[in-house]
Amino acid sequence: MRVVVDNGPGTGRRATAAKRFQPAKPATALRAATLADAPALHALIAAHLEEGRLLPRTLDELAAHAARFVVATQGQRIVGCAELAPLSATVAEVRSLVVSREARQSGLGHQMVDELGRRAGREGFTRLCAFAHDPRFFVRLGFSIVPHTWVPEKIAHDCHSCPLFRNCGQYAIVLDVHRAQARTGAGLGASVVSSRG
Amino acid sequence: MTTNAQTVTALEAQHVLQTYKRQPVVFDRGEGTRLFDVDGRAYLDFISGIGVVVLGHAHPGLAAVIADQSKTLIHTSNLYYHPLQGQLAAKLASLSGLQRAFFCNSGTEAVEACLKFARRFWYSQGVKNRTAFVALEHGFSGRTMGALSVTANAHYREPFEPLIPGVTFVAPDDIAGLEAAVTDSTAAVIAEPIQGEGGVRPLSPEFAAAIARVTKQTGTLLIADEIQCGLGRTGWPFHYQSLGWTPDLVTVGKAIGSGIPIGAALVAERVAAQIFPGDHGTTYGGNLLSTRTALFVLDQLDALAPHIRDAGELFGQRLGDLQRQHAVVQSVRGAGLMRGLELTVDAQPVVEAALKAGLLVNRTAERVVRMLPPLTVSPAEIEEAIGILDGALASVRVEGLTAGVKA
Repeated sequence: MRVVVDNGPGTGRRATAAKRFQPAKPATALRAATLADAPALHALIAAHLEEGRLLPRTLDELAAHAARFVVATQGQRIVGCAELAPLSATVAEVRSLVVSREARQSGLGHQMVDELGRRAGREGFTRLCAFAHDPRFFVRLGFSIVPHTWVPEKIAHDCHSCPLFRNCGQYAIVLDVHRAQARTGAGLGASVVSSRG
Repeated sequence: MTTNAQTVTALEAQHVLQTYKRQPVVFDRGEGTRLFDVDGRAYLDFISGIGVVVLGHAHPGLAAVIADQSKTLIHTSNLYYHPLQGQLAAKLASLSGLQRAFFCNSGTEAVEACLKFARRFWYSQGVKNRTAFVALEHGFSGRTMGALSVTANAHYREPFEPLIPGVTFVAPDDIAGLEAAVTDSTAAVIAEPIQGEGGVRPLSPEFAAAIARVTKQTGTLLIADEIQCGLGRTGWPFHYQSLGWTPDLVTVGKAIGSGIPIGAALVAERVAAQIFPGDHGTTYGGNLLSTRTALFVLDQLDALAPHIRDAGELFGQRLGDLQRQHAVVQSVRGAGLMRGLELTVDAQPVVEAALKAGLLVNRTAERVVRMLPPLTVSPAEIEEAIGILDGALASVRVEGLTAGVKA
C-alpha cells in the first residue's frame, strides 16, 4: 500500500533558488475568535464600513457574539473576520465579512467562508445565506442569487423592521451547506464554542 | 350551473386530482374565436387554451389534416424514420436560424431538453464544472423538476425541493446582477423574451442587450424560452429576433400544434455538434400525427403574418384606450396578440366579470389580465372583446378605488 503524505502548501518544503530572494509573505492562519478579540474585530469592521458597505457593529454585540466569528491572522494581527449568525434552526447568515486592505488577494475571504460553511454543517444548519451589495464574491464561491422572499428567516429576523426593506439594493445569496462542504475539507475541526444563541 | 354542468363538475370532484381551480364553466364545442358551453352559451375566447389554439377552434383545414393522418399512420416511435420530422425541422430552421430540432410533446419538455443539451455541450468538451443556470425572476418554464428549477415562483417550488442546485435568479432589470450571476460555472442563461406567466412582461431593450452581451462575452449558452411568445404571437416568427439575440437553444411549445401536443427544442449547430446518440429521447416525440399537424399550422402562420401584425396593432391601440378611460388600469404590456392589462388591484374580479359577460381572459401574476386570442382573431372580435372589458373594468373600478383607500 502506498501512503501519500500531503503536508499542504508552504510547510516543510525547501525553498528553491528562485524563491529564496523573494521576501517571505507573512504566514496567515484561521482560528475561531474569542472574547479577547472583540476590540480588534470592532476596529477592523469600523475601518472598512464605507468600503465594504458593512453594517456598523457595536463593541458590546461583538463581545457577546465573538464566538460566532472566524478570524484570519497574520502573526499576531487580525487581518480578516467573518461571522456565522443563526437566523433559524436551519439557516445561518454570513455577516461582517472583512479582509483588511493589505491582506487581500490571498484567498482569505474565500477560506473564511469555507470555514463558516464547515462550521454551519457541524452545527446542523442546512443553508447559508448572505446579503451583499456586490454578490460577485459569493457567486464565485458557488452561492446563488435568489429573490429576498426566499429567505423568510432573514426578513423575519431583520428586514421587516428595516426602513430600507424591499428597497435596500442588496442581493440575497444562498448556498446549501452540503454543497459548501462538498467543496471543502475538514477545516479547523470542531470550534471551541458552539453558540446557538 | 345546469344539471348537465353539475354532473361534469361532480364527477371531476370525485375522481380528477384537484390540482386546478377551474373557472365554473364547461365547454364542449368551439368555432373560430368562440367557445360554447354545455348550455349552448357562446363565449369570446381571448385566452385560446393559454396561447395554444392559434388557428381558432374547430379549424376545418386542421381537422382534415388530423383526420387524414390518423387514417394513414399516427405513431411509429423514434426507432424508425418517417417523412415528416425532417420536413418540420427544416421549416423551423428556416424560421429560427437554428439548424436542428429535437421533438417532444410539450413546452416543458422542450425546456427540459434544452437544460440537458446545455449541460451536455460543456460536458462533451471536458468542461465538467459548467453545470449551473441563470434564470429570471418572474420567469416561468414549467412544472417538471428541471423546468421548475429554473422557475422563480417560490409557491410552485417549495413543496418539491430540493431541485437542481446552483440556479441563480436575476431581476429582469438588473444588469449588474446578471453580470455577477454569470460565472465560469454557468452552463446557460434561460430567459423568455416576454415573460408570460410572470405577467406579460417584455424584457427591456437594455436588459435584453445585456443578456446578449454577457452570454457572448463569457461563452455561456443562451436559451430563449419562446413557448408563449414565439411562432407569430407577437408578429415575429420568434420574439428574440426583435431583440437581436442569436440564441444557442430555443424552446417551442403551445402554438406549434394548435392544440395537438407537440414541443421542440431548437439547437444551434455548435451545440448540436456536442450531442450524441443516446443523450436524449422520447417515445411519442415527433410522431406522425403531431408533426403533420405542426407542418400545417406553420404553413397557416406564414399566410397569417400580415394579419397578425395589423390585428396586434389594433389590439394594442384599443387596450391603450381602455387604460386612458379606467384609472384601475396601470399599464398595457406586451406585443402583438400577447397582451396584459396591469391593474392597480387584483385582477380576479375583472376576469370573473368578463366571464359573466361572455369573454374569456385570464389572471396571472395577481394583478394582470392576460390575453392571448387566436391569431386568426378578427378586428370585429377585438372590438367586441374591448367592449366587454370596458364594462368589466367599470364594474370593479369602484371596488378598486375603495380597495385603494383601504390599502
